[in-house]
Amino acid sequence: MQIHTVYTLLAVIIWIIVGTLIAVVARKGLGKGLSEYFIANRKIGGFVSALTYSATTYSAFMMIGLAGFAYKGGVGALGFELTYLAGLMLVVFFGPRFWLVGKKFGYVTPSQLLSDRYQNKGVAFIAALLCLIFLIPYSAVQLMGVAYLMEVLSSGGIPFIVGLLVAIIIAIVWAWIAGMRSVAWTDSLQALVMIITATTITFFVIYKGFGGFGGFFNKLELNYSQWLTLPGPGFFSFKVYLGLTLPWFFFSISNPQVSQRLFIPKSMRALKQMCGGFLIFGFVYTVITVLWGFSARLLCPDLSVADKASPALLALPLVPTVLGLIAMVAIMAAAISTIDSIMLSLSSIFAKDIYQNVKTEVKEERVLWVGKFIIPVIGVTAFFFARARFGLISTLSVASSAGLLMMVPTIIGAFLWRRGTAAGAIASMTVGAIITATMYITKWYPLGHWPGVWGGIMCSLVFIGVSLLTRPPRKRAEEFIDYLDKTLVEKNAL
Amino acid sequence: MPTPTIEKRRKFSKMRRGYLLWFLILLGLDYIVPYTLLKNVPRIYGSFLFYIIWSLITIVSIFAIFIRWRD
Repeated sequence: MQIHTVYTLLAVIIWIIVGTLIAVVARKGLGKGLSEYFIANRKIGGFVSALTYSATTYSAFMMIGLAGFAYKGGVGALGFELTYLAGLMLVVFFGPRFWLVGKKFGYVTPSQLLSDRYQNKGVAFIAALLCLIFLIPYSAVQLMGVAYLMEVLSSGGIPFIVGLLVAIIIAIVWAWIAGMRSVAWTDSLQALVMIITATTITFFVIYKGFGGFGGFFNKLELNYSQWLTLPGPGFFSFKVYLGLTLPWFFFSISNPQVSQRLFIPKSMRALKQMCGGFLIFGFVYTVITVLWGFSARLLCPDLSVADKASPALLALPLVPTVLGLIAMVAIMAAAISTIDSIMLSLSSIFAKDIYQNVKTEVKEERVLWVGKFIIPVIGVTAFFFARARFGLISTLSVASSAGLLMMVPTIIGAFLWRRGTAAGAIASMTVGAIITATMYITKWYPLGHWPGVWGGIMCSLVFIGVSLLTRPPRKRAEEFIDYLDKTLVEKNAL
Repeated sequence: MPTPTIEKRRKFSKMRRGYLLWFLILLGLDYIVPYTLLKNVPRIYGSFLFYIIWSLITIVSIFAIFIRWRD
């Protein structure tokens, strides 16, 4: 399938116009203040909360990376991504806790929560630094994915650099127009595009290419039976599976762009709808994406790079041009909806947890101004990272979920362990991040286990050990945890 | 005599531990079954079906917790 540059551009332009219109409409309800801009004043309904949570969580990794995993490693890809979805187990425990203390104490960012709970600005500073170090390269890789896709599908008509520029400008504009409101609304559109497109194309390919699910599964069992087992053709050894799933299982509380969304639902009912909606979306999207990868395995078996599984599938003659174009927009939507959420989250973290902690006497309007100013700065930084195509960028991007995993003991401790201290939190996050980043960069995996596993063990031990040796902020810990104990019972939450 | 709130807190604490144990069992199955029992079952009703059913059971268990939340 040769998709002409003009058609590709047209598809992108239509998508930009529709998304921008939605963002502009979202601006109409925009009030004043930090909380309004960064978390929509905690007034988002259940349906939009579910869609923005889903679109932010699922990036271009799904249709490119996960489909590639299924192509290369088989059914382990399904287990890996469904284990991630099972991470919602953590949200049913910690979601109401985030939401309740967010409302009670007025938190805008997850690192602000940690800093207040541990009564130490250094905690917020280190947490903010980790987010910036690991999430900007992650955004850069998402941008690169969009640019490559546009370049390939337009047969080189849209150069890589133009694709990068288009993607970053859209992400900046949609985040900047009305903050969380425009991001949540455009995310909702993008989530719908992602799920509808992925489902349509998968069903189309399975019925057109194999005559239905029976034929598809028969062919899979006949030609690629090993792909239906673990460790399968070799990629998903137990150590790799553990190394991949462990950081991703904790993604829902470790990644600020996702955990910040636990502040936005307008009520417990909306929070409930957000969890339910995300579970259904995630289950369908995961299964569909893995089937997509398996289809590519059967129809394009000779690819040298697994990440090309999706583009190769879309380029087959059996996929009509219009479906290919819609799929391109869906993959771009998945990337942009993640990038703009990360940019907004990082800008709130920079303004609140770095700038306001350094300039204590500053007015809220000034902090908001800094937050808005920093959105394009983060975007431009990610753009230059993507343009330079440093090897280190992709390493840090891969390391991002493992790097942010190092915040997990501090987060869990904040809600459940009165004895946790600021020194324990700072030491744990710092030691864990240094160990993880060093292992990824040097590719040193002791006993074959991945950096996330070692970093996770070390940061937990350091958090407990240092906390036991230092003095906890007893008054705040009791206020915080006692309030939760009392209110959770009222809300019927565990 | 404990107040109703204290009694409820105890009940919640017990439920929390119960669910924690159940989730740990589910996670254990996720890591163990495909690498042991289903290692030599190269069929669609092997690990593929296992992960689908495992995931649906997990989702239902999660629903069972949050469906009770109230304002």
